[in-house]
Amino acid sequence: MIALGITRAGAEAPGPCRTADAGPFALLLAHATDAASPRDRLALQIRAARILPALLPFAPRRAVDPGDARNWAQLQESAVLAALNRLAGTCQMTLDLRHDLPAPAQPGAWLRHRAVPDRARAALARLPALRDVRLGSGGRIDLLVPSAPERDLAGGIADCLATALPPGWSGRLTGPWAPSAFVGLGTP
Amino acid sequence: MTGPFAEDLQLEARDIARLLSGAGGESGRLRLDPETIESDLARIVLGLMEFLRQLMELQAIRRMENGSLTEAEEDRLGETLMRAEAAIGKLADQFGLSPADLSLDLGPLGRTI
Repeated sequence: MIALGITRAGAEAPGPCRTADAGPFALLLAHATDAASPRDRLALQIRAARILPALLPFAPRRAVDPGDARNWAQLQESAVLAALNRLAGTCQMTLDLRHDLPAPAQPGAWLRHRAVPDRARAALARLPALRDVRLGSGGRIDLLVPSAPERDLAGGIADCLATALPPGWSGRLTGPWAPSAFVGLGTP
Repeated sequence: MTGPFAEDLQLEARDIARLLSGAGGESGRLRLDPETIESDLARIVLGLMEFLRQLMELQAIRRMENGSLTEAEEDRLGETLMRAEAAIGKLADQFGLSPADLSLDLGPLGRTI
């Protein structure tokens, strides 16, 4: 078996995954044949995140042993429970910002160009519908959003970007993903 | 734009690749292999250098956004960071490392970049 993440005790996972209670939380598990590759694990996590009340996904690149996962979670039990509460009812959307033209060669302009993703992050962080916004590398911005948003979230994000991004920049929104970027506990 | 909250999973190859980005083999963790020791060491050193460079870039951006940099300081910092990025990229290239390879998985501490 491979551990894909941590969820709340007693939660029922969608097939082919299953859960195994481990104290105050449960491990999300899958057979090694169903979760052989990072892509398989990512797909299973996405599917499970849509059903489970909360999920702390492990990095899908790694096939985590259930025993290691259990030890890791139990060593930081209170932090794991806090993260489960914080991420309950949420999913992750990812925004990739792109610039059509080469970066400016003039150093000051280059620095201002590099500031654009952080400026976009700051603008998005003001949207009440977003629970959290994190700047990744290479123009990537991760958004923690409610699993069942009340309004047209994508439309709100697009409107925000239309004013925050200078000419030549564009954004591509993908998801929903399991909220990997917001777990903040490292991995087993 | 991929429709969020659509009923069906929409897993496009490039999106998956991006989410799974980061190198270092299947585990993604740091490792030293006798057969590839030079490249493995280069990956660690260059990964830490790029991590520090990105921290400095973020700090410069924050100072610029706060209006605490003069135009000359913006130019000087921009030039330093731009050249540092090019130098790290050139060194990484010499060891056959891509920019994604410089993201180091520190296990419980998370990734560097």
